[in-house]
Amino acid sequence: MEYYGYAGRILHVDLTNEKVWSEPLDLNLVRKFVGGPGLGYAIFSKLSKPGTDPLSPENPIIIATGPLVGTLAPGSGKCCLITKFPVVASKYKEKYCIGASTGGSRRFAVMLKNAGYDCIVVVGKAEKPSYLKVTDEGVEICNAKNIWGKDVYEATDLLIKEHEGITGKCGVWVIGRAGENLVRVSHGFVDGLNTLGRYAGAVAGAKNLKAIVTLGSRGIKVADRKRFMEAYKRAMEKITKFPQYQPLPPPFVSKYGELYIKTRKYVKGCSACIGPCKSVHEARDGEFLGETFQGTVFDIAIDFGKRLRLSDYSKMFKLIDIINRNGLCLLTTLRMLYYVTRLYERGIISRSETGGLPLKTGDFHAYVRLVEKMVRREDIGALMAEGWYPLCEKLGVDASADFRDGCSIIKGIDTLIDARLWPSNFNAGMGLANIVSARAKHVHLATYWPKTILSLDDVKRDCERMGLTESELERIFKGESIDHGRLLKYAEDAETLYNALGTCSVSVHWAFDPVRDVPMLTEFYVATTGFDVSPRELLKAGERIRNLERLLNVAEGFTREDDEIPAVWLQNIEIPVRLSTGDKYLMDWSERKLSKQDIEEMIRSYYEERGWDYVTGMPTKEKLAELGLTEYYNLFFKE
Amino acid sequence: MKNKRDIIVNPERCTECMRCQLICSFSHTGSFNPERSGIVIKPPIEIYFNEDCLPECRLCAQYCMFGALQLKEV
Repeated sequence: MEYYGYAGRILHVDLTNEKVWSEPLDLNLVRKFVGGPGLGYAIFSKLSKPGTDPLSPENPIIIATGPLVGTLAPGSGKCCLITKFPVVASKYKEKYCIGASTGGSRRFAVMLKNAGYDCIVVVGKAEKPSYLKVTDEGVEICNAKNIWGKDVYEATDLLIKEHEGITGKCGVWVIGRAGENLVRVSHGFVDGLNTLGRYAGAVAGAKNLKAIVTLGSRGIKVADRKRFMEAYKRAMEKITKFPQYQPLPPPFVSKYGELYIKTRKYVKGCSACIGPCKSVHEARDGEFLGETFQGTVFDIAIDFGKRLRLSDYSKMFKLIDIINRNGLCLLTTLRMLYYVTRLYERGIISRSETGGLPLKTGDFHAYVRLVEKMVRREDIGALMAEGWYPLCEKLGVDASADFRDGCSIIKGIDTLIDARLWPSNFNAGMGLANIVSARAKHVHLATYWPKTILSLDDVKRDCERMGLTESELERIFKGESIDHGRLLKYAEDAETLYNALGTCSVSVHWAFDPVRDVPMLTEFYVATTGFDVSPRELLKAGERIRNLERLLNVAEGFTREDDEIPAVWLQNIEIPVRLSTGDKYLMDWSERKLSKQDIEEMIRSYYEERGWDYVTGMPTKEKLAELGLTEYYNLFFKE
Repeated sequence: MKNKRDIIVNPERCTECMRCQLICSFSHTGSFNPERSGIVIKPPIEIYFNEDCLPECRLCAQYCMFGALQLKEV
């Protein structure tokens, strides 16, 4: 059978029995779920039973691409890692969420498809440290003794050297020492730069799976080449005409513009990227002159350096490099260093608990040793390695209420963003998206930035382009106000669709085109796959995927109660000057203090618009039937 | 063919987006297939053209957005 857009096969690997097999991609399945998280969840639901230990051999790691990955469609370098994530996701009960982590890649996803597979499903546990090689010649479970124990960049370089392609590098996904040691707040790196699988490093480590290498030359066909190139030209014309658009990030993307430009060595993107967001920086002065770090948003690095009271920025470059090399989640680790050091200084953590290591804010060497303790799971590091809730429970603290100037913690994960850091008010879209999400992640992209970047008319125009009906628009827009809960439903559907297609929502949203162009995506999808669908039908696929994700998590015991409002988001905060009009930013909400009830009302309207039961969190039977998900419901809940 | 006389190569500017390899393979083989393209990308050190590269073709430079491949003014 001829496949267009899709590579056409799903690869299965059983590491315990050293078996590898593949099956043809079911076109009916991808018509329904598109790809990426949709394909991943559909496979996951039939493979894994509720209650499975995330670090057991039975918990699958699924890496799935979308139909636009490997084509010229703008920003089509994304892939998803779907698994049950190993951090405890509830303060009250040991349960773990099933989610999809999205990451960009240069060669990895493109080469996976060119080797003939849309998706890899890995189960079991290898007897010895192993890595997986997926090429034109076949699939091989290889001995990883030469790379086990090596840091992320060393292992990536060794694998690239060993499996070089004709026209460039192979694709590589790799975990660091933290993942090998089952540190639950670890992740994988793609092509030595992007991260894929925040908190999934230990899932791979538990399988003795160090890396996946991809390289292939089968080619990705599109159904209608002429239509595809016309869509490409139209899209690029539109994007490049946008007034703010610049291919390379300009100095103003960073509030440390001068330092950002001074230290920037290279800019990197993903395949078919139109607005690369990753860069490699080199310290031009300071104690660690010449030290480089890569991958992270520059401002996060510098902001954290200040918060950790490091005396020069080169120390921060060095610290980030150490954390990255070990494959630890950078954001979580920096926040934990900060939080644990403060707890030590407040006398909540004793010197015996740190193994004799004195902690002091600003002490670079103490931070480095604490990172090493996390990686080795020693002393307090062993607790940090378990994640936020076990750490807090053991110490008798509550970081999700106590971490006032750091972040919020939702379902065991520190959120990428602080919803308070926006000048107009609580950023309803971002905050709410994190609260109702299966796992807190980059979900602020699923939302709007009302009153800051977008005007009300912009948001309306965006909704119209998503194909919302009159009655849907009437429910969202009431005079000059927006019902954020209802709006979020559609924004999430669109965001999920981006991930399912394998296109980057960052490059499409940030700075130059903050609108969801579902018709444009549909045009690419139709030209590529040959499937005849309307933009609204494709948006519906996003809704279907989000509902399947919710179904899987309800089966794990999650309910409405788990969509908890972090107490820190109801507190005042000192915020950087750039985003505020004053030094202290008060939590006003339409010129009054935001209350918990305000957020609860948003959650309620979100649930109503979604068609989810407000108590159980379960999609209603009508909603499941409408989306064709009844058979998935029956997998878990049929009496 | 390592170099092309009408294309300036700046490997340090390459973001590894592969747009050059994607358009090259799509135009000359009919599918998106970077390993069948006429250009080798090994930034930040090397970018060069291989034996599959057609002498008169400049698509790669026309599609590069980041200045890694630039058409020479004639």
